[in-house]
Amino acid sequence: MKNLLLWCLFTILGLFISLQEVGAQECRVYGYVTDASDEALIGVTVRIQGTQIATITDVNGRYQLNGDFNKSSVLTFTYIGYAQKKVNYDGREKIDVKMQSSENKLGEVVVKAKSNINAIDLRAKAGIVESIDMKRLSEKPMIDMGLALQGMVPGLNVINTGDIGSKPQIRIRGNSSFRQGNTSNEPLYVLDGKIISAETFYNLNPQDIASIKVLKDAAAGALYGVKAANGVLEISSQRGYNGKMTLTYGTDMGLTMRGRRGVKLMDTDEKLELERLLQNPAAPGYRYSRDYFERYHASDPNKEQLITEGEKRLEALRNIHTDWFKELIRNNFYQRHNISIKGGSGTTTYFLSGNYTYQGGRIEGNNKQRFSVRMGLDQQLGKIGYLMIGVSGGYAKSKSPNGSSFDPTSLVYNLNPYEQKTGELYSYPNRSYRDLTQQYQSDASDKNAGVDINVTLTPWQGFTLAYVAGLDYLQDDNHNFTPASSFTEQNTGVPDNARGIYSRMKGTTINLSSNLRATYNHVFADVHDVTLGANYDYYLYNYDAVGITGYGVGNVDAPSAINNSLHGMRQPSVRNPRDKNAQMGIGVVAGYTYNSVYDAYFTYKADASSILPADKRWNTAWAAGLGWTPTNYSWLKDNKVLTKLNIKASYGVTANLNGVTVSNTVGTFMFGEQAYEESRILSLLSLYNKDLKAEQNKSTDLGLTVELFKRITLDVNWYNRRTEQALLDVPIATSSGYSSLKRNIGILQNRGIEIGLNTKIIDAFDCRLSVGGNIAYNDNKVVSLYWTDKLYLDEQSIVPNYEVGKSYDMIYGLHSLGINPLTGYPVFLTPEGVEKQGTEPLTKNDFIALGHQTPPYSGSFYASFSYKQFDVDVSFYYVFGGKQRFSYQYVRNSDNAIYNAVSGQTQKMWFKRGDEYKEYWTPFYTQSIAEGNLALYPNTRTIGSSDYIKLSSVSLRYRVPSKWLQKTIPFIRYANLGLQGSNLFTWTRYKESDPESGTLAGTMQPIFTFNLNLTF
Amino acid sequence: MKQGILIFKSVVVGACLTLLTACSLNIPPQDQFSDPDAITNVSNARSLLASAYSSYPHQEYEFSLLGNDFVPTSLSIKDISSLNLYNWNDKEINKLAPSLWQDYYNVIAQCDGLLERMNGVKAENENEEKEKIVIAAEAKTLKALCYLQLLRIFAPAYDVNPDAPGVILKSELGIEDKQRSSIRECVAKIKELLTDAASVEHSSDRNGWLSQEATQYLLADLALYSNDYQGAIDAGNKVLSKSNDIYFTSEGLNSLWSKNSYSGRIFAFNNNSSYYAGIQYSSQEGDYFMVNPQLSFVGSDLRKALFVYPFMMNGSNRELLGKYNRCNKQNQSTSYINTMRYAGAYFIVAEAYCRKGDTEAARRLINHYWHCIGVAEAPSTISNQELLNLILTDKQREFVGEGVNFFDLKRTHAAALKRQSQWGNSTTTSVASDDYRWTFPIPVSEYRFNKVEQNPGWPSN
Repeated sequence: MKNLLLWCLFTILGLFISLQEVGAQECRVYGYVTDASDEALIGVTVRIQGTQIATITDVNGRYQLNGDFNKSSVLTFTYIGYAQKKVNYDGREKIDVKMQSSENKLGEVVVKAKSNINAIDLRAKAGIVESIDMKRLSEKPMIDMGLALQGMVPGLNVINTGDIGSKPQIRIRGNSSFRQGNTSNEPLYVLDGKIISAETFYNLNPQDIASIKVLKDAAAGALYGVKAANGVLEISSQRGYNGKMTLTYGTDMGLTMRGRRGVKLMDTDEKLELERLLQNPAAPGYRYSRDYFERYHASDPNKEQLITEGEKRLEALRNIHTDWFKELIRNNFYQRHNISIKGGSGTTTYFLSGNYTYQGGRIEGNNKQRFSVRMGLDQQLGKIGYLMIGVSGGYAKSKSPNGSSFDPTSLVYNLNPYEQKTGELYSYPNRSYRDLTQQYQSDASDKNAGVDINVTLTPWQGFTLAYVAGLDYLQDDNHNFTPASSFTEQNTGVPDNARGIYSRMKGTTINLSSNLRATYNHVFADVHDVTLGANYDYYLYNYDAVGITGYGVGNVDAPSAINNSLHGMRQPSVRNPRDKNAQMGIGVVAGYTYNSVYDAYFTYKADASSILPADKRWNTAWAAGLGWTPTNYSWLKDNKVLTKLNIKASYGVTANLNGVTVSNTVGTFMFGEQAYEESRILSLLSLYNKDLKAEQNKSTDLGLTVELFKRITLDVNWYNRRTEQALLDVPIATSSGYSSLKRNIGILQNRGIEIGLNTKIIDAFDCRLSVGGNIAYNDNKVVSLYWTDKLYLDEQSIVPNYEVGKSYDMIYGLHSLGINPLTGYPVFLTPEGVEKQGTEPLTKNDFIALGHQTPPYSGSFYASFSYKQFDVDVSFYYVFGGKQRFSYQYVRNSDNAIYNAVSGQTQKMWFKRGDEYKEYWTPFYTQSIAEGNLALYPNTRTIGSSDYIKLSSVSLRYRVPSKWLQKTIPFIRYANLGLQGSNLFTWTRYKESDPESGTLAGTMQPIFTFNLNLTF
Repeated sequence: MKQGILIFKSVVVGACLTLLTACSLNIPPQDQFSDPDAITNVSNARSLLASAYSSYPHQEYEFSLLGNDFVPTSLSIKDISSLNLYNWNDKEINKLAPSLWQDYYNVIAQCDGLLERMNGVKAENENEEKEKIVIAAEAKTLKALCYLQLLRIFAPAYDVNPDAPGVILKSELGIEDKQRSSIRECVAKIKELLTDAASVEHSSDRNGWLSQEATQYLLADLALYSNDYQGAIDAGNKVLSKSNDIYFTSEGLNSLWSKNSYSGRIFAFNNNSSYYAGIQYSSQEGDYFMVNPQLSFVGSDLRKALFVYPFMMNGSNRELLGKYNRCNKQNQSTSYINTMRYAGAYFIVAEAYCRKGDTEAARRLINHYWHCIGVAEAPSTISNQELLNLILTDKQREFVGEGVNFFDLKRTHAAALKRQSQWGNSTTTSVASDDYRWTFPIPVSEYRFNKVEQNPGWPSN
């Protein structure tokens, strides 16, 4: 494999070097385009007047042009809402341009249109808004948009949770709620002004996206109101540009690799020896050993002969060395094809694209593919308006053989090295390898379609009216099938005619959003810049699904095969979950800037939700912020050293209602499938809390931006977010008839700091080097629990789940001193310094905090280098400070000696009295309290640091010189080739499975691809 | 021209603003009903009551294990947790108690929820008006039944100390921080609920709804529980006035285990899922437990054919439980779980007479029943205590496997309960009549979140 890659590399390099000579003589220019306040402008069209040589500025506002032009040429810069700028090319290689917002200068009405109408300029002056590097994102070969965002922005945490197709965990600045799970903690996704579902977001094609902004604090997200309680990801799609039509085709072809092995397992000899020591007759290592015959056939006259026969059988097994990791975990394919067309003339521009991506999984039957199309059309409406229309459609399908009852990945760790795909299995008695695979299959597909219309009107100077309406339609289809031939169906006493399970669920989700904004901006006496605005939005969510589960389908994967005559547990069932709710909001915003130096910002939004009763429907979000930019003082303005300094502070309060349903607040009843005396059963869904209030997120933010020499940028953000009236389903006294109730239980706090440093070490036309990195730190703690100081979520637990003054994702456990050579069970050290045997019952006072489950530190660093036609980009992602509990699943005790075990267990395990310095406790179940203590609670020796560094992306690209292209393949305007990789390697001290997901199936696959991009 | 632009601009702005009016937030939940519009008609009220009925816990098998109905078989060892329960293992009782507590209170909560909403129920006509009153009466009876069960499980016997803590008497649906009321107060509350409900005249041709007669039966049962013998006699006789000797023939007894509603039952829970399946290990090898050999049915007893199920286990013919177990073994589904029947009323009233000292009235009454079902009648010379013993033993026989005996043993607390070895060959241990385990532990959730007093003998940490 390595050789193949090297060979590819050299061939490509050789080819490029020979091409290098051809493309030498041409003019070239590059530079940065900014607005009046030095913010980079993205998407500005830069053109050599009168030619087709044109480009668009990137995320940093940088453009670069080369070709046949000369000193008399004129560069034109055009951008919506800004006066067109013309600059004479004077032979300088670097030309930086500052564009002026045209209304101020020329007194004529100019429309400033943005696809996300809440993205008003004012917002960034006080709030924390960060952009994702789209170039790096689109060069990362990964099918899942959510996962690809990992490490892109500090404070945006992305955690992979399982095999491909499973939903990642995306959080902005940690969990704002005690409640776990995506429903309560996921950010809001907004594409071109319309709210989209998380699934639609995961399946977006990075090539179709112009920018993604991460809105982290209350001030930035305030215009979205209560929906933005967990932050916002604001996505703008690619638009057309004014110029000749270009057609771009891009492809990635590559391989997905097996990834980290996780734990190293035993080979045959060690395993057979372990089996002998574990003395379980079900395992061949003991069953055919001398020990066994000496014990169970001690007086048998044929004992010696039996021993010899046993030895023969063992010898046969010793010759087999199956590496199940290699057998079951496989390399697979990755491919992507992308075609896009953009262009426009005069008042109309357009963008069209189609994309197909396929990623194969690590195990057979796991893969994901998606297909998407997108169209954007922009139309100037006379002199006062601008219209943007976007249409998109997509199809995504993921398959998984991992069922709730069976996970083929676990076979890698369970099957023994002396077992083969044919023949007897000791690990799964009475089953063949075939009985272990093809037991279950599930697939899920999403079909989505979206349309959005955006009208921006500026009927009078300074007054802008913008309206966006969007529809996001998602149809999801989940299908599960367990054939009658599967082992569980065959062997769990299911009658013949009831075997085989077919289940299917089809749901449609409609997100309808509409947002109207009016803003008025005026500059008085040249220094007082005042903006006033109001917005009104409406959001409707409608979910409707139908699901069936039927039995007795045999081996036919179709609903028509369901046996409808079955009764009792295997009776066919039909479900129809439906949900519909709407939110309406009205907001105002005011901003003031004095002489570009001082900024003040205030926003207030009231939102009403249909899920709450009319009297508590309205919740509010407000924020206020201040900004100071000393570098805009006239005496500092053109300072060469300190090119930018900005300090901002904001405070905001946002209510959070995510995850609250009608049944939480008022008595809600639903008909069940069963009947009682022919009367349908209408039951109360859950106990309701009439006093339930929305959570209140109060956040304070401070931000500092320093730019030196226009080369070094340092961003520091500090935040303190307090969630008051935090909601949680808490256990209650069961004399209420129910065991839990959603209540406002307390106050929690997330505090943290995010630091980003980016430097452009070399910045010339031919040679560029930039390096940078970021780090985010999050610290959380429970500030108060209103009616108690400790909260237990489980009746049996000794250790509280939440405790005042403690972090809420802390793992509690015991301090272990190691295994007692006499008992084979660990000895614990209590915090008072007293030794306690593992065989004794534990009390709350014996526990200590072992560490954070979610790593408090995370971040990334990168280096990006271009020389002539070559670009190299490398980025790493790291987390540290977290702990993950070992599952100890592969340390086998006597009862599960039939499964393969972790390499080294024979040496590290306590087997008999006097075994000293052992790591694993006794394999023989000798004392139930000790076994319970070990199973329930982690200790210092059964957890490990989950720190890791991951080589998250690598790309090596070559841009074919356009001169050479013109001569040889004239119909191709630009071409570039590249080698890309994602998640290539992970360095970690974590001894078990995957430090990130904590599961065996979860390791992210390394992907290598060869990339080709052609523009016609 | 300028005028035209102005008009155009105003129209566009106006059009955008009209979009504002198109939205409403009064969206009812799609497949659910929310207050205040959920329980507004009689049919929905009945459906909510149906939900309360169907949530009633059925731990009859578990209580039969705890009582003296069964002895282990050779297969008992294969179901350790049932065997542990049979042997009154603390841990096993500790596991059973919280689910019982929550389940009964859940039924109570649903009844409370319904009763709180009855004012909002609109009746369209006279029939509905009547049905509305009946629904409320049934809800009260069902609630009373749950309280009585809770009291029997979680409080000591009435005569030990009527002022000892009983159970928590709820006043509304939701969380309250109420403590346990005394047994006496609980009994008064239950009686109040039942008396209230008993004033509503109603009956149903379906066994699954609690009729006026069922309310009377419960009043009698409650009176016997609280040593109010005259009360038990009065209420019980009202029930017996409706009895018919046709119910005590072979055919009549057989109908008790049939799938259809039957007038010989006073009340039975309607049931759609499997019931009593837990006692059987396999249809070929037999059951985990068999009927206590001390309860042998005489040959002439009409009940014998239905109440026990002869089966070869370990080379001998054993008497396994009949009733629902027989239905399961014969692949007949059980749609009713018998809760009150006329035989029960005979036993209640007869015992009450006996305890009141009216041996003759007791003898006359119970002899009538015994005569009907083919059991030897008690001679006129029988002493009061002997008759009482006969009545209690036959009551145990009548209700074998139906979880009644445990509560009678607890109520009478006359003798220690013996635990037997396989096939009932010998006694292994015995549970004293004043053992703390007769009164179940208050669940952790209750003392952890409501600071309720724990019963003596059980841990509260």
